[in-house]
Amino acid sequence: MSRYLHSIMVDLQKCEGCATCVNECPMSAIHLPDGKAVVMDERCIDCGQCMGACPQRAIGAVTDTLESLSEHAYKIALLAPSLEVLLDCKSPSGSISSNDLRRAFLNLGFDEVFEVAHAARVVTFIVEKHIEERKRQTPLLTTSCPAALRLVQTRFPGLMTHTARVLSPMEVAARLAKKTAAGKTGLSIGQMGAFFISPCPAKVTEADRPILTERSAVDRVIGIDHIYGTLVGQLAEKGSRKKQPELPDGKEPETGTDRLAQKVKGGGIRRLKVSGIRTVMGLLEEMERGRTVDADLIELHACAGGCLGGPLIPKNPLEKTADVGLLIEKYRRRHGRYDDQYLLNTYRKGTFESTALAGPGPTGRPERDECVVSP
Amino acid sequence: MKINLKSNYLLLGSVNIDSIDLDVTEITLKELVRIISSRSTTSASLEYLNSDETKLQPVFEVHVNGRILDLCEKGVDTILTDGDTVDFYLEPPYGG
Repeated sequence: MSRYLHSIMVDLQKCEGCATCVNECPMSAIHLPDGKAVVMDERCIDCGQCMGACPQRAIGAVTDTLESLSEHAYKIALLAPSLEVLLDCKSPSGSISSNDLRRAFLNLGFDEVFEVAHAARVVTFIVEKHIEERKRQTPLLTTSCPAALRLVQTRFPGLMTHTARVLSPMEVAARLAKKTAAGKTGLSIGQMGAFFISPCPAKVTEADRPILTERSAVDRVIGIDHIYGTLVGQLAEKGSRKKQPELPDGKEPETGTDRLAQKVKGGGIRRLKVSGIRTVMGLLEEMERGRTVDADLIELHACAGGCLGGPLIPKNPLEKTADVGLLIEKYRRRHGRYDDQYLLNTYRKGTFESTALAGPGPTGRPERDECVVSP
Repeated sequence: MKINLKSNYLLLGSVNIDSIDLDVTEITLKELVRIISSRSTTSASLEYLNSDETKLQPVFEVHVNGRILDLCEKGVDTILTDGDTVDFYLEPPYGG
């Protein structure tokens, strides 16, 4: 049974009923029945726009805490790519190594770290295959942003036929990480705990109430803002000893969302990136009205600039980064964890394809466990 | 003319700017990014355009007057005039 339906919560003691959130909410999901903001469950997509808008900081996101690690014998931290960018930007050297990142998370109590970027590559491969083999109605809408996906489900249900029927990178990461760790440790998958370190409240809700699968493999979602300070402190000590940022030995550029045109039966995959909830809504409205969009794949992100603009990211990491060029180069050179043969085998098995019927979510508000609210 | 700028990163490498004044009456988006790139101090070249300069690199998402550049008919050859707003978003690979 779900612990809660939405991550977004209003602290009624702080709320002064100014209605700024009402005006900001793209889904008209907030009203003030008694002078205090109340979120309407059936409309809220957990995009978090209200969080940043509230002048009283009365709206927050309920996430899990590190205390939940004790519930599992083996704890795996699933790192959102945006977290790595955030920490890279904060590092004195401008870049941190995978080993430093791993050690920092081990110090927090985790047994292992899994970078969700690797799972994103798997998802990208499968989606491109779907396009190539014309399995779904194009343009395909990606599923990596649960707020955008829930927007489609709630506001534009007719466009659900365009959604890629593939699990999200977060979901795929949890499954891959657990399977690998179980094989390595001899523990059962049931003893594994997958903890997604999240830039947004929508992923908290997605883990609790998934759209494209019956049950999420993600056990808990911890907001980046809760552990950011601790991580920065640990990494600062390591980073100060480095003179130059280290680039991986990039003999082969990483493939995936950043690669150039992929052959699709004589053509290339035409990608369109759309971020910012109102820009996304504008595009979906046009599609709903029948406009033809010249793209095979549309990557939707509720937050402007993607997850780096997520509500649980302490501050935009790029705003004070002098050398973004070097940072981008680092990510471009990264080696993928899985080779093309593995990706092809995974695709053929259909392991990460969604078979869940994506209908409207439940209504009603069940009891809530004790969790932390991010202001 | 003046073009208003917005970005989620430092457009000029070490500093950010929220507008740029140019001694022309109109300019293409392609020409604008060349100017910004030439003034940027990032150590590694942050290339805005792809190899044949027909599109922006995938790490960038650009809106012109609130409209997605890729949906503008002329793409990087979109003409900008005085008072236009260009939003630049840098999204590292796999952004999530």
